Amino acid sequence: MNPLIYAWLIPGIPLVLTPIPILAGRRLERGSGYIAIGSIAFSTLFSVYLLIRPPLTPAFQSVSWIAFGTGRLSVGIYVDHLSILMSVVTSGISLLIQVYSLEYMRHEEGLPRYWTEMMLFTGSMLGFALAGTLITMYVFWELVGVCSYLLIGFWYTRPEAAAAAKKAFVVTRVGDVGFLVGIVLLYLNAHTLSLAQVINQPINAVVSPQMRTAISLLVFFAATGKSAQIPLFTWLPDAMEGPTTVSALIHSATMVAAGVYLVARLYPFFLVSPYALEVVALIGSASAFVAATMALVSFDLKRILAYSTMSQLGYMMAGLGVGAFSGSVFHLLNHAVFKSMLFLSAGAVLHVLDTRDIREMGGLLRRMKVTSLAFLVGALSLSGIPPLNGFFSKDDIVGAAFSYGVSTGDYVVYILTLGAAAITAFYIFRAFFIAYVLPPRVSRDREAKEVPLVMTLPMVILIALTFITGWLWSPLGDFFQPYVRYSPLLPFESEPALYLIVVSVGFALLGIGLSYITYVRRTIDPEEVNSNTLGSALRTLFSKGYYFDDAYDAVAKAVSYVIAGGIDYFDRCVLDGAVNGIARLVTEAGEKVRITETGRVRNYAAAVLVGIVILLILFVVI
Amino acid sequence: MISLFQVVLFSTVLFAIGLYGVLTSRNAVRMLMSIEILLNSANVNFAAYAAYTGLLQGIVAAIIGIAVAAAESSIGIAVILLLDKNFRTVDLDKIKELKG
Repeated sequence: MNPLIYAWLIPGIPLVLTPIPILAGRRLERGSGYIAIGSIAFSTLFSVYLLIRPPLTPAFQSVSWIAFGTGRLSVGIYVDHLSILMSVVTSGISLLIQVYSLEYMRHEEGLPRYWTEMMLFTGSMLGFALAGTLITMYVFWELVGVCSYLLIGFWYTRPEAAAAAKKAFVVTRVGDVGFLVGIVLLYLNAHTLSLAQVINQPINAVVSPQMRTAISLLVFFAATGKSAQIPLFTWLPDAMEGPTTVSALIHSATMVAAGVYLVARLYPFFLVSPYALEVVALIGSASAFVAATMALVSFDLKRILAYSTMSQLGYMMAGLGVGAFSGSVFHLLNHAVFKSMLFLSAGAVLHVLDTRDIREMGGLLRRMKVTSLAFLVGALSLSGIPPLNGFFSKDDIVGAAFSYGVSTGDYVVYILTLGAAAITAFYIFRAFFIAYVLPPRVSRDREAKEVPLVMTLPMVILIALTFITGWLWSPLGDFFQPYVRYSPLLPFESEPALYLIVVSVGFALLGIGLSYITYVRRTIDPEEVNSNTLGSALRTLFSKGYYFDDAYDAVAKAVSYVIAGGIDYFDRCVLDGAVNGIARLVTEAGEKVRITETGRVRNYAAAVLVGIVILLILFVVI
Repeated sequence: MISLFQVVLFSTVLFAIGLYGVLTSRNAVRMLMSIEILLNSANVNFAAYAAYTGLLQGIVAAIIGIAVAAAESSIGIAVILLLDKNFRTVDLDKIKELKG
């Protein structure tokens, strides 16, 4: 059978079956969950089949969608190693999360809605991964955005959740405008939106280098929205109001991965756009560093993980920017694995203890062995400790940042990523020590106990994957190589030198060690650090999210006040003025005319006479 | 023999008297009477022209005019009686309910 049929079916099955849970409602009960899991399982199956037997050259197929004038927009699929890899990651991680949801969401209201939205979310992301034209990508891109809105606001009766959903939608929408404008510019210049042409002949497609840079930066702006980079990251921490399973899905394989995937997908185009990749590298590394510092001061377990997602996405962007294409895509895969595991572990703790504050947790290590192990493995992988998967891809990115520094003399990216690596190790182990290892600081009414098998099983699978996926691309195995080195247009990447690996692992160990002596040994008292001037100033800066939220609020308020003021003026002076003016005209005319109404019969009789005389004269004259 | 001119002149004088009465009288009864004079001046005119031309239509119009005058004066009297009942006066200058 033609492998392209499978490619159509991968997003097709979940998308077509999407309405079933919500239409069937309560009649299906748990069946709707099985439908979601089943459909995504099929997608996973087909994705894995394509992964094992990929097409030798990128396969492309499209059907006409809209025809206008001389132009034509088409919907299609583009199957190459990158899109296959992305669909395997998305469907696989999503499948594990759906299985976990069976137990996690069991007692929730509105389960049919949940399953429908989850299927739509996964299906849209798969469609995005396999889309063959930019307009198709844009449609699925927006669908992913809508689903994130629906799922973050799943508990829509809670005002925080509703506000967070709205914020996520609006902030990512700001970026989406960039994507749309970029697509329009590309169409006007290249007269095609087909990926096959844009990727393989970017120079022929868009001749002017300035235009290429403009399009690249606009697309990257959209990616900063979805992937929560500076300056559009503010929605990500708030998005934690949704169910943890949703957070796990958003933060690993779907929503946030979309931005990185978009840049990776159009990477050949970025390569021939002057300055575009420099911007990507700077924004990415700055986001990685800034997010890591914000995670330092949070006490909300899910928020810590959210900031770490933003930080890791920053690594991927920085990697793409400095030319470590394969390292970034590899990190996308590895991050999806360990981050969903961290979220599932956090979700299990929430499920049992019903709190997100790490100070109310503690002492979980003995009671919840699998959950704690999952978090520990995830934390080690996040810190980049060998032999876990995070080590391989992160070192590749940091190493590439160093060689980028050597070749351009600009070491900012390297310093930021290296610094972020140490801070990452510190904050994630801070969370691990406080929430899992140390005894609880606050007494709690719920007893910690291990979650059932249906929740631990996905975690166990992910633990195994964390150990495995790193070796796919290492000195030992070359399996992963073709998946990230497909396009002949990509530059050659060298393996990072040994001393660079030692340095970055050293920084990670330094972070873990500092965390250990601060929170377990208590040699350094964190309260003392907070109480001095610099410490408290930094703490406020970090916990306020570098005042991005306040700045956006201020700008939004200023703009809307000006607009509202103008509209108010127009309403009061022009509209009300017209209405009141007519009324006053009539009143004053009435005042003038009323003196003729004397009420005396004789005056009226005289008026009648005058009228008759005038009429007579008129009759005579005319 | 009375000429047509004399009759028409009489009718015009009658009309002028009636008009003067309507415009100057403060008493409602006097005003009603003046209106009757106005109507009758028209009737005289009709009758005069009917006699002059020998056509019957003028006579008919005059008779209709008299009938209308009768009906009108009865309604007018009724109005004046009600005015007297409600305002305790028939002085039209004191009744200014319609003043704006």
